Amino acid sequence: MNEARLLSIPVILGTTRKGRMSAHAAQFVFGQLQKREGVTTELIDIAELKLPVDDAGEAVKDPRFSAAMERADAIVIVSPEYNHSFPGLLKHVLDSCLKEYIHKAAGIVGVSAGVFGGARAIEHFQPVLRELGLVSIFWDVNFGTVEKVFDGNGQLLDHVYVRRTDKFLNELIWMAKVLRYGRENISLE
Amino acid sequence: MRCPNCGTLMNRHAEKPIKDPHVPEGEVIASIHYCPRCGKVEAELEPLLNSEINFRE
Repeated sequence: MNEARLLSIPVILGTTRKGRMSAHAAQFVFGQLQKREGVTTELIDIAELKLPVDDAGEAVKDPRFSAAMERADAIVIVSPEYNHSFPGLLKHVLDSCLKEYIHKAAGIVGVSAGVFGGARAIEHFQPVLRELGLVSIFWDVNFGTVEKVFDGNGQLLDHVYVRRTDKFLNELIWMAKVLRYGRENISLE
Repeated sequence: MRCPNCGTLMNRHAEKPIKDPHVPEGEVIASIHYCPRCGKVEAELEPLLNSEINFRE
């Protein structure tokens, strides 16, 4: 692997809803990633992208988002669960790129008011990630009953999530390194 | 393919079928190239061969 370049792992906050608790989860995971040596990260809020909704796919590509996905070796998607799936606007944003994702790692952080922590939304992601060319990892972080996990200022109340997020990031970084090595060195015959 | 950013030889690491309503086959193949030096990604579109079509009417 080209050690001169840090691993780039942006965190995508995947909801535009007012009062979103997912913002606290995204900030927490972003902070944990910032502590990792050899990793650079950024927080991408889809509410700030303001993609047009009168077209779709690569026709609405945002140059900053595209550049961030091209730089990325892995992505963390922080998503709430809406009606047992992930937000439509998040899909709209993800659909705006393709070549940028190929053979890169993806990890999902689910957030919900209920106890399952976005588990059903995470399952819905799997065929989408596959078609986008992303490689899904087998660790998730599930922030269930999220109003008990963070206070109103986003401070973590339940510290079990530190260790869970560490496990998740360990696997994501391993996969990111392996896939970067492959993209750099292993040619398709 | 050479990297348009830094001139390094890029690694062709994937071929991905992509839906394209503008071609009779309904799909094209994107060859994906990655620059080992700077991380630039490039895609080249290639027509699908008849023998590569999965679903037929």
